[in-house]
Amino acid sequence: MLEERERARRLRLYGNGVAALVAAILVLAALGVGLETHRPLGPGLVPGHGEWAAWVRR
Amino acid sequence: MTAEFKRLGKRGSYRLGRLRTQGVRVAAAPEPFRPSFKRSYRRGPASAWVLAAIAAVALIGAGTVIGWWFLPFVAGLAAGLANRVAGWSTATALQAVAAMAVAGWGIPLWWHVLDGQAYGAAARHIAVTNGLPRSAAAGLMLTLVVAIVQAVVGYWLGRAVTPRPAEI
Repeated sequence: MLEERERARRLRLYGNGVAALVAAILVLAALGVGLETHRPLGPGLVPGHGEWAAWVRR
Repeated sequence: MTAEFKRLGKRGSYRLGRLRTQGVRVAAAPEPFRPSFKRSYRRGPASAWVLAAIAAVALIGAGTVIGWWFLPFVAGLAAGLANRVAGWSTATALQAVAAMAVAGWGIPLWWHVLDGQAYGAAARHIAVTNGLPRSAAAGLMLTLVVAIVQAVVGYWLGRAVTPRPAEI
């Protein structure tokens, strides 16, 4: 009984860790790829993005 | 005597209500004691953590100067790792992390606007590109949401890799 509970707790911890890692990769990848492939997004969406100066000069 | 007689049977005329009508302040009821068996992990003075949060805001803001858009994530990750020592509740820590992210990007944006840069036009364009109403506020909100999402995901990862002893 105790072992089962311990195993479930460890599984929950590892699951949480893996879910957090996947979420972090997804968010960073989506932002990174999105900013590179759709460069006009940069100026407004992310302050300090390389396109900012070009946008302001327009 | 007549005035007192007229008050008879009316709300607020008896006991504590009577004291209140006479201007005597009644002490608030003490907060009930709620025993908890949860161990407290909180360490370090709150002022130190506030200073750390201000430093994180400054770092996120400085990152925008050189285009490091991922710094809200890094700050959130650091907060998640530090929470192993700090021991703040998840709700408190999430609010602090979100506030750090908003201030870290919001202050430089506000600075740009005060400096006369055309952020409004860029924010409007961003709002339209993402299917939002054509308003600078919508674009600004979207930018801040991006910062918050990054910081919260970073915090989540930081917390997930450093569980407290009770969680292991």
